[in-house]
Amino acid sequence: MAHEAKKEYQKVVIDQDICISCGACVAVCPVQALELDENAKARLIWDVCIDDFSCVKVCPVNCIWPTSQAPPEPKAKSKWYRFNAPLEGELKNTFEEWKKKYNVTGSPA
Amino acid sequence: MKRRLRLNILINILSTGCPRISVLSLKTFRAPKNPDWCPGCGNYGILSALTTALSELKLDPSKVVIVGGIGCSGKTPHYVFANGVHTLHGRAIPYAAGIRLANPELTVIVTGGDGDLLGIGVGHFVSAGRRNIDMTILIFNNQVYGLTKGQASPTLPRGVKTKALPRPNIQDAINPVRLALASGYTFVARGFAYDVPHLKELIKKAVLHKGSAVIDILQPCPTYNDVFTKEFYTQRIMKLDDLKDWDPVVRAPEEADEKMLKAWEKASWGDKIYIGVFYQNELVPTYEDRVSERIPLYKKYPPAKIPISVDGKPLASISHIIQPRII
Repeated sequence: MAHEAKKEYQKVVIDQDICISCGACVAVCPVQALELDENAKARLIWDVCIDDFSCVKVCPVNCIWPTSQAPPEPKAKSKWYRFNAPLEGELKNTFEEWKKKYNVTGSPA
Repeated sequence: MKRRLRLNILINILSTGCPRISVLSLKTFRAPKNPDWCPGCGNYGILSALTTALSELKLDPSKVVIVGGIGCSGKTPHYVFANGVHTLHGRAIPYAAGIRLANPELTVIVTGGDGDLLGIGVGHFVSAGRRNIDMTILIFNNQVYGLTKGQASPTLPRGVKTKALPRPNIQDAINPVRLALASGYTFVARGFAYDVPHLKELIKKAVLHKGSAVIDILQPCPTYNDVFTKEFYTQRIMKLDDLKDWDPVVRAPEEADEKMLKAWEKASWGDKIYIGVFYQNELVPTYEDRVSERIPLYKKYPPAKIPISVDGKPLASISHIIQPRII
């Protein structure tokens, strides 16, 4: 699903160690930007997220934050997000800027 | 027996089509099957706490038995990588008692809902407390019959109207913690499904406890219970461990009454809902101890270890027993 990737989107951060695999975020996301990975934990599809934040409200164990409000530990973890398609051109720059701006050091799956 | 259990596990793995090596390394008790509960259900928190508690206790999955009744909670045995029994409605405790008494080596955990254990199975729940069999009972308490479209369950307070009720509830609620205290359970606790680290510690304590342990787990039902929600609980829940001088453990028989009274007081349901261990008493002899007083070899040779046949011939001959009585 292709959505316009705006530069101001801050996306969300997920801590998979707290996640209980309930799938509430997956069910509520209007653009299907979340999925359950091979360990049944919630994973963000980075380029699809449009800052709706329904997932933040609905998460029963509060393991999803808007990136600007997220604690530092989950940002350093890896594999909690992936891309819908390989990043190209401007989108790649947007991703690098986002990583730098919010100090996200973890790598994608 | 041991070989058969291992064989059962292998068959389980082969039939579920899961990669054999990763499962046989047994780092986790999570079965390779996705639960079909509603998104956001409290059961996911309980399942997560249960599986991590079991793996942190380093138990052998072939020595763990999960017994489930009927209801959303009754499906838990399917999602835990251990021996599991999905039993009749309300009868999970009698099955578990039989399993535990036949083979006291096993760790037996009952998973049932409020409708299952406190509705149709309340007689068995009370009796299990009197016997003090060494097993753990987890009550998934969501105040509604979630599987049958949200009718009022025995733990829904009077005057409360949830989504599926046409009028407010006409009956009063059972307080599971107080019922467990009155029935004679020797470990009584209350947990919250969305506070997974706290619940995990409670389950570990309950499994290690010698005697009947019961944990009343408050579990929001996002589909049918619009009153007791995550917001409702997060505003009211307090931890017993945060109280000054809270010590639920009975260390001398004369302390038992006093500690039980304190637990009774804290178990109330109102603006403050306490979670944590309410009462723990290991001085009461377990049912296994009581049986071994009468049958001294019971613990060495429990029923599961006694051979019943050699070379296809039964060891007990009924004709020998009834022959002298035939006139």
